[in-house]
Amino acid sequence: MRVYETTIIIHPDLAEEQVNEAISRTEAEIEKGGGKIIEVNLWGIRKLAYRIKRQQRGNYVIFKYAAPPNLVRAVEYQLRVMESIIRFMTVNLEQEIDERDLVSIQKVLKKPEPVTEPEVEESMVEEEEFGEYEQVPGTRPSSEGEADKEIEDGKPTINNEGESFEKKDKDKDKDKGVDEEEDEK
Amino acid sequence: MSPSKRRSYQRRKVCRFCSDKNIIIDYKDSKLLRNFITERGKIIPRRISGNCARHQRQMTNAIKRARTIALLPFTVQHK
Repeated sequence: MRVYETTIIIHPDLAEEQVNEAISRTEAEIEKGGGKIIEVNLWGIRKLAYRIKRQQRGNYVIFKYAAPPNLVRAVEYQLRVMESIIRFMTVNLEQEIDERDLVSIQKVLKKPEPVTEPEVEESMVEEEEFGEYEQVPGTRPSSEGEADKEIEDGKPTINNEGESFEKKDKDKDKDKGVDEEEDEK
Repeated sequence: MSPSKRRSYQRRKVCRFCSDKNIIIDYKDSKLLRNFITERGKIIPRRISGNCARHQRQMTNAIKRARTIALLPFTVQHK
């Protein structure tokens, strides 16, 4: 059997019992089709990166389970029907579990970990972004010299605005091979 | 060859996922993925991020998955 991971986002304004109902219905659907739940991860309410059904926040629950391939369809159908679920996504984890091993698997319930990152604000903090940039190239030499230049040239412009970053990008594309010249300047 | 050019050669980078095998690219790890998108939400190209082809591909898939479950933005929100 294959291992899948289904993330569901439950409407944030629901009462606890309704949330639990949504979760147990999903679980029931998985188990009904011969699936075996490995892990249920309750992330709790998080801010969404964009609005879904007019909601800014959503209650994330992630199911990890082993299931025969055709079960996913049935589960997703069920999720689509449930109104309390505003978004879902199933991912094939590309792992195979032998059916005989399934018996030993116990369902693990993970509670909301303290949300380390509630910042889903409209823009990612600039310093953070570019701080990363500098770290990435610093690690070790490689065969891609071109990329470094990009950062070197790019740095002053980047600081101005997000806009200029994009312009820079386009420029780069135009004069791909002419990088050296730019460097001379 | 200008000095600045030589310097840039020294600063060549290697894919950070190749150098540290412990980092797993996971679509749920929005904190990690955020380092690889611009402030406008676009995926940072390989020539800038320095990822190798394999990891850039994994990264791209992970970002796209994260977008569908609203962990990452498709674009910035217009006001």
